[in-house]
Amino acid sequence: MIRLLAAERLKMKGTWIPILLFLGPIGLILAMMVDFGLRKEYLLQQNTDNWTVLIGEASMLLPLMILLGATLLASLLAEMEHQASAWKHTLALPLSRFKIYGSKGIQLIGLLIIVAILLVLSFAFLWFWIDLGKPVPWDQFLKAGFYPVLAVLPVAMLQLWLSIIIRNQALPIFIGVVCSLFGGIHTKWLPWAYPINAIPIDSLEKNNPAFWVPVGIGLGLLLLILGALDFSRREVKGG
Amino acid sequence: MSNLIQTINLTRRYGKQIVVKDLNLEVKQGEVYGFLGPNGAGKTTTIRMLLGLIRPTFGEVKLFGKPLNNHRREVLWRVGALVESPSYYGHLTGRENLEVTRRLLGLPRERIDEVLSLVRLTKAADKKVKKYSLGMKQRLGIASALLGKPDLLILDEPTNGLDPAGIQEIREFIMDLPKQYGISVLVSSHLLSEMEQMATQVGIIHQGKLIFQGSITTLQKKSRPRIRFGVGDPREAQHVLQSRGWQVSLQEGELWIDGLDRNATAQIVECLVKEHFSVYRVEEVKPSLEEIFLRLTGKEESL
Repeated sequence: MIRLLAAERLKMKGTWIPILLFLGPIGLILAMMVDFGLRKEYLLQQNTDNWTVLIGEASMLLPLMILLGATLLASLLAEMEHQASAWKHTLALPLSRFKIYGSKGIQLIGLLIIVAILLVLSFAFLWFWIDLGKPVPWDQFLKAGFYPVLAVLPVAMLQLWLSIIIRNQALPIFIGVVCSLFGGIHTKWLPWAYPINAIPIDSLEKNNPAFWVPVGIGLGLLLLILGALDFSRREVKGG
Repeated sequence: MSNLIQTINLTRRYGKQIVVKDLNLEVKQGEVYGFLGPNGAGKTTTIRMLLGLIRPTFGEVKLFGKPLNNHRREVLWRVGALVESPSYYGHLTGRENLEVTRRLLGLPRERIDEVLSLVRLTKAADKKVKKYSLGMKQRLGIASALLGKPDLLILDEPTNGLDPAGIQEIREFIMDLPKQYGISVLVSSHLLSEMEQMATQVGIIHQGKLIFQGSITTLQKKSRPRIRFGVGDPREAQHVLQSRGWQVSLQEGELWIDGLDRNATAQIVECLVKEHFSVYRVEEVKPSLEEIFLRLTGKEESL
């Protein structure tokens, strides 16, 4: 498995994937800088603490950004193989197909964890840039970065499976975008609602990270395994 | 030595269409086995089944004497393959592409330089593969297939789309593999002329069925030679011979008769001389493999 992941790392070289990882966090920072730059006084006069204000503002953007990011990353990881016509080569090697798919999934989880770390740093940067005072809620930064990202795992694994089994990436991306926009609106039970469910903020009624983060991780891993099992028994007719 | 590849009644259906039917291939050690057939005859489908990429509807594949379906990973360690168009990551260099496969298989680093020099890509190793010519990409694919030091190389149309110089290069390379490195080869093609020079054994597949399997020389013996007569006044001579019951055709001013033995040839010469035709040439013409192939497949269109 380590060998497979080492190969995955090399394949990313010179692609858009590393840049894409920074795009979301940078977008979040810029949006918040504008938001707080324009109406800091108004925002901070609300009857809550400064962290709740910041995460409250960020939660307008963060879930959608993470959902779309996961969709795009999954598609890029799969498209790389489609474009290279690599499946027929890789799958004719003496390797376990379950592990080949698994390494893609673990690679995607790894990339999302990098996004989570960048988000933690973004919150810290914003805290100091907006000058929200002391004490600095480091533990909240960690939760705000990691919780929604861990909760996106089911969607990420679903998108990975779609992007791998469908050659033309327009379709999985379309499905991903539409579901990201509308999939979480009317219910909290569909996976597209998990990232917002998992944002650590008290003022949003349905939020409950203690429940939704484990559900996200559990369902994500289950979908990864199911995807790998399905992939193992598929035939390789195209590239 | 037993068969490196053996298929037993290998059959594959797509929907209602039978693409490969009751195929019994036998590829032995030390051979370059030419797997021949027109486009759409079932070559790629067969090769995909040999590599376990798709499953047979019926029948079995054995590699190195072991059934593929429950020894897939074990036997594939001894197989290198290039299926149809080459697989490559265009944004990586040739060396990096090989490094991906090397990491997947956990092979020693030195193998990369070894296979690069085998296919003469050492100089272009650090160029991005999207800038490679088709021939170079094809050679990179072969290098990648050789990475794991296989005993058997399976190449699907490795010369497809190459210019004559590229074809010649790949052909010579393949011919050397059994002698120099002890690697047996199965190579598919729709061009018989290509096989004539590099294959020791051929299997011809047509509409999913194996219509011939054996050595090139056996294939040539399958059809009788024709005798060509150069005579003065061929039209009149044709009449005379036809009136005596011979099947004679007239092509470009010369007479052609199929399947004559020595005796019959002598009789015809005697007859012509007695009728005072001047006989200035009697020649045996072996049909080209292309003609044999056409006759076997009954197909006149491009192969």
